[in-house]
This record gives sequence, C-alpha cells and structure tokens, in this order.
Amino acid sequence: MSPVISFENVVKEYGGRKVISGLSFQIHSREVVGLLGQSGMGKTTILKIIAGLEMPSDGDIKVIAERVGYVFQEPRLLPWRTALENVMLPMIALGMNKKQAGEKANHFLGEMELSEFTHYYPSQLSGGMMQRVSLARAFATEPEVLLLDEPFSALDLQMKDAILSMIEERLLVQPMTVLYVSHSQEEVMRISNRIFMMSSGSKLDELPIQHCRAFRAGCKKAFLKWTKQIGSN
Amino acid sequence: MSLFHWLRKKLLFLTRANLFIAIGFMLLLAGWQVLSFYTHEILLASPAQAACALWGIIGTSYFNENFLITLWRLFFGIVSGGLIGFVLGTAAGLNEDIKNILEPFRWIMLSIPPVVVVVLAMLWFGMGSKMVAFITSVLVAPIVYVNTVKGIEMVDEKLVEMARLYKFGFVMRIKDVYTPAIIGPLGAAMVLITCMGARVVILAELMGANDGIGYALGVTRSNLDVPQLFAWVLVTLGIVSVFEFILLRPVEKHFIRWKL
Repeated sequence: MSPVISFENVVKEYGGRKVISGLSFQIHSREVVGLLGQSGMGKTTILKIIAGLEMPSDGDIKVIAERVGYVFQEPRLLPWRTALENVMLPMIALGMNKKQAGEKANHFLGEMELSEFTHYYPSQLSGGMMQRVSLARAFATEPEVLLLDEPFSALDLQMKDAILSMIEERLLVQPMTVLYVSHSQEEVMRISNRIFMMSSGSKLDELPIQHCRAFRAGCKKAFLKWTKQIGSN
Repeated sequence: MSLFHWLRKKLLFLTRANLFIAIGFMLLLAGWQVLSFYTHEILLASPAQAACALWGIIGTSYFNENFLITLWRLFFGIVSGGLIGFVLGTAAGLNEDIKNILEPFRWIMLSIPPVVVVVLAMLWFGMGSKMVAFITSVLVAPIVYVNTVKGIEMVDEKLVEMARLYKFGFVMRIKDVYTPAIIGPLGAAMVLITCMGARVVILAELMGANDGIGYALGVTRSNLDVPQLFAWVLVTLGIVSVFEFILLRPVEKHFIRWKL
C-alpha cells in the first residue's frame, strides 16, 4: 500500500536556522498517528508543510489527498461570521451550494453538540465550543487527511475528554488519515494506532506497538522507559 | 431619583452619551448667541437670524436646485473616490509591489493643497459638475486608500492562513476575510471623507461653479446677506450629519454587529 503522506530527507529553514533537517517518515491511509515531542522541535512545521501552508527548503514530499483538514491550536474562526457560517465557508469554497453547505454544517455542528449555538458569533462561545466549531469545520469538508495541532491544549480535562470522544466517534463513521500533534501522552495514546516521538528536527522514533498496548492497559512503565531512552539518545 | 434618571424615564433615547452631546450643542448655540450679541450683524448672524433665513429659503426653487446639485456632487465624489481608494488600497494591501508603485502617488495626493487641485481641475474641466466631482474624488480617494492599506496589513495572519488552507477564492477572501476585518478603519475613513468631501465640494463650487451651495454662499457674500450665508452653513451641516448619522453609522453598526 502506497503511503498517503511521505517525507524524504525534508529540510526546513527559517532565516538560516534549520528547524527540520533530513526528516523522513511515511504515513499510510487511515492511520491515526500521534506525534509527541517538546516545543520547538518543528512539529507544527511538519503539519504546515503537509497542509501546503509552508514549502520545504529541501527534500521530497508527497501528500496524496485532495482535501486536508486542519484543527489549529487556536480555533481560527472568522469573528464576523456565525458558527454556522464558519463551518459553511470552506464547503462553499469547495464549490458546494449554500443550501447543501448549510445542511451539512448544521449536521456537523449537531454532532459536536452545538445545535443551539449555530447562529452565535465566536465571541459569544466558550473556548471549548469554538474548538468544536473548528473541528466541525474540518470534518465537514470530508478531508482525506486531518491534521490536529495541539487543539485542546487550552481546554480543561473534561472538555478535552468530551471532544476526544467526539473525534473517536467521527473516525469510526468517517475513517481518514490523522496526524495528531500533542504534548499529552494520554491524549495521543487514546486515539492513535501509531506513535512517533520527535527528539530532534531530523529524527522520528516510533513507539513499539506493544508499549502502546501496555500504556492503554494502564501500564505506563515501558512507555516512560522508552521516552527516557530516546531522550538520552 | 436624579434628574438624569427622571429624564431618561421620560425620553427613552436619552442615554448618558446623548445627554452630553445635547449639552455640547446647547453650549455651542449659547456661545454663538453671545458672540453675535457683541458682534455687528454684518459680521455674524445670530442663531435666530440664521434660522429665519433658512426658513425663508427652504422649499424655494433656488434652494432646491443648489441643494440637490451639491448633494449629488458630494454623493458622487464620495462614492467614486471611496471606490477608487478601496480598490487600490486592497490591491496595495495584498501586494507589496503595487503598494510601492502607488507610494509616490499617495504621497503627492495627500500632500498637495486642495486649492491647487481646484485650480488645476478648473483648467482641465472648466466650470461645473465634472470639475467638482473630480476634485472631490481625487481628494477623498487617498484617505480611503491609506485606511484600507493599513486595515489589510493588520488583518490577522492566522485567519489568512486558514483561508489559504480551505482554498478560499480571491473574491471570498476579500468578502469574508479582509473586508469585514477592515470595516472599522474604513468606517472611520468614510466619516472623515464625508466631512472633508462637503468642505471640498463647497470650496470647489465657490471657486468654479455656477450652481450649488458653494455658489450660493458666494452670492450671499457678494450681497452681504450674512443671515442667509449662515443658513447655507446650517444646510451644509445638515447634509453632513445625514450622511454620517443616517447612512454611514448604521451601515458601520451593521457590519460590526459581531462585536456588540
């Protein structure tokens, strides 16, 4: 099976400073991949390159997807458009008519439990609600690849848990390739079936699947040992 | 219960801000009245004399003709100058090269004294509406241009990135991302150009037209009819306030309703 996302010796420089240097990895169709790593390692840069928002300085990239959904760290909703309009706009940009886009937006907002707030402006919504609108916007475009860039870092645990459940449910109905960047091991472990640890801008270490299973079963020892080992390398 | 609260109960539109604006108006009228009391009537008409003169001319064909032609020129000048400024400002805000090309033009248009533009326009277009509309457009456009460029440069980069990600087309970006973001500075610019536009139109009419409020002002000055001169000033203030408070402010309020 050919990979949906493929990086081959990718380099990205900002003003002469290498953020990513010679990075290679592959992600296959419908894989949910978690990407862990400290701040400043270039995780967001990887997502932006996949989304086409940044161009690499060197190396080969292949992203076999017509539509890429992206849930940013902050919701990035247009403050002058209602929740419904924010979800509708990307669909209209894709060529869908307003009526269809409205119906679909209503459906996805309903799935995010926001049916009563469709005509609210972002300033009238809480942080969690805004992030759910952002998620509805990403899902509504039916992306082949979904990029999640620490989308829940500013939310409380309860809200995080609720939104993660919504994502899990949606992925069952609408399988897609997901790359999920987070600081939180628990979050990543919960929804990912492959996990990468980024220890530097050039290397991704993959967590052995047995550690992943053990972590989910409540045994975190092996995982912590692995992260320490990567850190010392 | 304070006087303010009692009045507010009686008059629903009376907010604290409106009350102080009304006090400001009263002071202005009182100052005008006091000043006219100590000044010869050939120099300054009293508010009552101006009001009487206004009452005398309103509804006459002379008033209607001059009033409507000025209104039309002002409207045309603001709309055409505003559109030119907005289109060029949007292009310059989105493209640094276009901005640099337009920079010398902006500098000249903002620095040149209006009276020079008036004299040149008289030479190029002769007397009449074309000349007045040209002057208004030329003086109004750079103000809208500067505010549009500044507004676009201040649009949140993160929203622009989101629009790129979801492949918003050019029209959609302008309509849904840039224009709503710059409506605040643009609204302020529109109020400014309305006030400035009225001054410019009347100046241009005074110097080179055979009709309009500026022309009527010239006639009253020649006839030393000071009350009527002040009556025309009141008409001008009325036009500007209709543009600002009945047209522009509600439109601006509509576009920034998401902030309220």
